[in-house]
Amino acid sequence: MDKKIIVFCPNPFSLYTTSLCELLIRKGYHIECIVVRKFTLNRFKNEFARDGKRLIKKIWKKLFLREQSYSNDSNSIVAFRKKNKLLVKNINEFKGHGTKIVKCNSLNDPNVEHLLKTYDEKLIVFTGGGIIRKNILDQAGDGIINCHMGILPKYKGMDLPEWCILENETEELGITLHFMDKGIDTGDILKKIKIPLGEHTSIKDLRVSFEPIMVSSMVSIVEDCMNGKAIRTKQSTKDKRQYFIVHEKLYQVAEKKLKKMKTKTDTHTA
Amino acid sequence: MKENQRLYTNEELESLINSNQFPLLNNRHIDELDSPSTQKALFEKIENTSLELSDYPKFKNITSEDIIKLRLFLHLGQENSKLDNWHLKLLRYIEINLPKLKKNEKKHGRSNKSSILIFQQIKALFVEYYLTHNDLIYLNTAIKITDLKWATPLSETPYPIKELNSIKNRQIEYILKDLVNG
Repeated sequence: MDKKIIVFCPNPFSLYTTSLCELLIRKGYHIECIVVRKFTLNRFKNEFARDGKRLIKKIWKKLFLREQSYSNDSNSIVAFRKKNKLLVKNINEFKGHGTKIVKCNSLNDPNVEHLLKTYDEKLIVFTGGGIIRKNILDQAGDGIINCHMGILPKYKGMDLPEWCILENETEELGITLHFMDKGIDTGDILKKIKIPLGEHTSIKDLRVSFEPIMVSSMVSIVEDCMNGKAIRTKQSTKDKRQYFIVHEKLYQVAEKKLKKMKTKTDTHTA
Repeated sequence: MKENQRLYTNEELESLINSNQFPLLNNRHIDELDSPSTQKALFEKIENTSLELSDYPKFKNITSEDIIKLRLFLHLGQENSKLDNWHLKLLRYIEINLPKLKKNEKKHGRSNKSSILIFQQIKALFVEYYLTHNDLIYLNTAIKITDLKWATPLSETPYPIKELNSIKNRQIEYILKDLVNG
């Protein structure tokens, strides 16, 4: 029986989602369904309560500016898309490849649960859209793969690039591909990829450089999962620590530290 | 003897009680505590020269005296899994419920005055935890508590709490400057 690939998506214009899906289709995989969250006032209220003013910037960048929000950074997802000739900008374009687009208020909605029950064998790829609850995890088939912006098991939670800089652990910058479970970033690990600090002098540029690596790693891990080559490693449950959203004052400290690190490296090299 | 029930000498406790760091324990300010029964309980515990802390309860049942005990344990260098659990669970509760903390406090039936007392003590605990353990996640949450206008001491809040708030805010500013330069 064919295993179905289902993608969970935060919005129809997500460059991460469209790039990932387009690359998978090019490699001969069929995307059975993309489940995308609707924009509702409730969603805005909940996310604003969590993220504050950051959400306004995020919406402006991801929904309105989209590709234009990126500078000419050669490490960005825009440059990656140009290099790989990725053209799809809206998930609805995948309808032409036989992909179903299913809208929902929340990825945990009963209609999503019902949809997942209709497939016997499936692999779910998470590209954003909020916390996944037990009812969906229970219907996940092989599992839900996520690309986490931190090296697990130590760096669980949010704003991990910032925390690595604050804790002087820049050698721990990287991503982890893992299966999701009921805990926060506690599921079985598939792959860890360390990302060097490089020449970045701002946290924004550093984060931008993560995105192409996340896309290509996710494609690779989906292939491994579909071919039965993926190896799952359980995480230790000892460390209950979790990182939370960095306060603006500590964010500014991280920015200054990053600039200082770069200045020190430049002086040393000179 | 249980691991967190070391018997402290009278001199050690006397020195802590009279310290500016623990204004609510100072006998001069004991009448500013919430209720006569709380005052009596705290006074008795100190007189017995032992400190007891229950397992972490629901947040609505936590008192500012619990937080003071945690601060005392921290100050005395006591470490064990029960204390670790308290610290982590307190941090998690505040971070996860940050947008609705004020609503929760009202739902739990705590008066505005009690909420101010407890959150100021938690902020103090987190700053002190950072200073003793160098763990920035606690400093991060302490700064977030500073932003909560409803948890900030009012003009009618007892002076020791206003002073505690001022001391901890100044400590946060020094720490932030230090982090950039360090």
